[in-house]
Amino acid sequence: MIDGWDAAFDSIEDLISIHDNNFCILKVNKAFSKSVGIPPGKLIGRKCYEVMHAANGPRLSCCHKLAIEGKESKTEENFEPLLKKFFQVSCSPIFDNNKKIIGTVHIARDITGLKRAEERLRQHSNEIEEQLKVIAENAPVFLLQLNRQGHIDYINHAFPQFESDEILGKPFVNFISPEFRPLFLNMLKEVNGEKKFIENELQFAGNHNEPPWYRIKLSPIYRKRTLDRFLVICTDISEIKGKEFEIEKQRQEIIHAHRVLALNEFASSLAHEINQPLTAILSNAQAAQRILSQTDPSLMEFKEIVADIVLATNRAAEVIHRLRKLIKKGEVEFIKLDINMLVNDTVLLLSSNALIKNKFLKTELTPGLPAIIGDRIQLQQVLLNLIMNGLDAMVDAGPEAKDLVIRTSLKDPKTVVVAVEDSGHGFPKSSLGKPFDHFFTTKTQGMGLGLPISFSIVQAHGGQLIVKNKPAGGATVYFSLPVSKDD
Amino acid sequence: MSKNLPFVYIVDDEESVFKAVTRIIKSAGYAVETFNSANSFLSLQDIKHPSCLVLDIRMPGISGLALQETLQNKGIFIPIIFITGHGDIPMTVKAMKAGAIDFLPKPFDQKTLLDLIRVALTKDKLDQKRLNEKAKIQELISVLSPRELQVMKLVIKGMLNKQIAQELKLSIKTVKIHRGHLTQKLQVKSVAELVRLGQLANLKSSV
Ligand SMILES: Nc1ncnc2c1ncn2[C@@H]1O[C@H](COP(=O)(O)OP(=O)(O)O)[C@@H](O)[C@H]1O
Ligand SMILES: [Mg+2]
Repeated sequence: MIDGWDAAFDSIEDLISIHDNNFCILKVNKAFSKSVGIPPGKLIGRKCYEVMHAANGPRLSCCHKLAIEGKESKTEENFEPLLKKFFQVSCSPIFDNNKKIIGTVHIARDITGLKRAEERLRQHSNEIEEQLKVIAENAPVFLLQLNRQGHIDYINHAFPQFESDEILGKPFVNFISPEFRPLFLNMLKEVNGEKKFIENELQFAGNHNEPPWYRIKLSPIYRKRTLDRFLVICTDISEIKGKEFEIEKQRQEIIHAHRVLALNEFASSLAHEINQPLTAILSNAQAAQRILSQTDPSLMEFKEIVADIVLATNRAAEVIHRLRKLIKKGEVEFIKLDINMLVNDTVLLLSSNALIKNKFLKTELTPGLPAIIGDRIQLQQVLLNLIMNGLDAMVDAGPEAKDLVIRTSLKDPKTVVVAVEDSGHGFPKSSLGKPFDHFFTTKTQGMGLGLPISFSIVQAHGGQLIVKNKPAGGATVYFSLPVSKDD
Repeated sequence: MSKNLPFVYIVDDEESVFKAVTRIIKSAGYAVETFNSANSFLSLQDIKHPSCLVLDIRMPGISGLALQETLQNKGIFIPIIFITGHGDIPMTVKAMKAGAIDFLPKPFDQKTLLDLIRVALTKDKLDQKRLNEKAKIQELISVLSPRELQVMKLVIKGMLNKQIAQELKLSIKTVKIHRGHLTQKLQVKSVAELVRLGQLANLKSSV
């Protein structure tokens, strides 16, 4: 060996030694002898396990042994109790000319500092984990982890309704009230995409008559960019819901009361509406009597008269039926509706009222509009309020203001818009900001509830209601409604 | 249908009503023509007589009340019976003031309707007679010379020949000649008759 090599070895901080295949030390560098505190002369020839580990033989994981047996380089990390240090050790076999192993080069690098830092980090994260666990267990919400199939892997504490071990491993959807299950399954499907989280309010399954309500926030957890699990946060909102139901009930009562009062207002026009068919019926019946008293009564004509009487009677019945439907205090029922039909029905109900006021109701309806979802009676009530307001404004404006136009159109593929445009005096400037304030009215007989109630009905339908004054005078009230999803 | 039947015109926007009313009126032996708007009635060229109009007071577009006014402005005379509904009182009052025969609140009895039609037709006959007379008189008056017309107006005013001569700066003899001519042309025998004629012709007594 060249002398220059020894100097080079000695300048390296790693512990370098050369061993024969009997674990005897053949050569060490300076760093080695310094670390073990024995001069190089006294190390040569000694068994490495004696020197390094104060042992009688090699350890099972000794990489010198493994390198000789495996005929290739080996590395290991171990702690040396004698030196109180962590080492990263690598051993490479040395071959003679016949490719027979005659020993190894053994390099040990002190990684104690690195190890300590690692250990501190581990301890720290354990502490955080512990803290999180305490927080989770005491959180006023329920935290669950679901696997990709939606089965429950973890729950922070038991639900009042279910024991934890009754729940673990089962599909979460089983614990949701059947009517909300499709909603939740859909959430699972949808959150597995762009969405960071999806939130919904739903009821849990249970044999109470009013099962508890929860707000459910579902977030996906990704590992290496693929969906790994779901986090579910459930907040009990039964109490809030109870209050909401109570408020909603009161709202419905007010809506109904206002509807009945509004009907009162055009009772006289309804009398007119009923009077028409009544007149036709009476006159036809009397005409029949006259014809029958003739010497040669025409059976043909008699038949026609009777048919007309039936028609007129049906018409009167229809008026009463429409009226009854409006007064009815039924459950709010969201169904698919044709907005144009709704407008036409309402216009029929109000046309006599307009006629009495010497005004004209006109419609410009876009044909073939998609269906909307809503409560027929309440939407009719909105139209009723807006048309009555328009007529009121036009009566105030004088006989020149004649036409009130109701338009329907498609704003975008998902939204239908109804516009009620009058030729009255427009909203007073001072009021443009507050037509939706309860009890705001400029009429002596007004109650100031028509617009706020209409606003709240439209809002509950997922739409918007806005009012505008036209530059040329008069006002337009617009309201939008979302179209039915499967249309 | 015979040409001489009295005519009843019906204007009502409500088909079911005018159909039924038509049946009643026809069964009473009148000729009927129906219109579903004031405009279509106004476009009628020639109104037959004797006749009357059964008119809905409340219609979209031109109302019954407005039609009554239009007819009057055009100098068309036809007695009108209004059909009225609930809450039409103010309009009804206007219609009556403007000379309607009467009004029928809906629903109405056939007898009331037919009675009113009879009254209206009688009135129309009288009106037409008066109108005919007036037309005839106006025709007679139109052949008078300006002087004769002047003299006639003063006679109607109650002036004596002497006063008339003074007023027109004519001799009494000339006045007498004019009077002779005009009584001959108008075929009247007395001053009283002349006065009645003048009234019928709506002659202003000013010179
Ligand atoms: N189409 C309209 N044109 C002008 N002003 C209107 C119109 N609609 C509503 N308003 C104003 O808004 C007020 C509130 O209307 P609303 O809530 O329906 O109550 P009310 O009709 O009983 O007064 C009315 O008094 C009137 O001043
Ligand atoms: Mg209102």
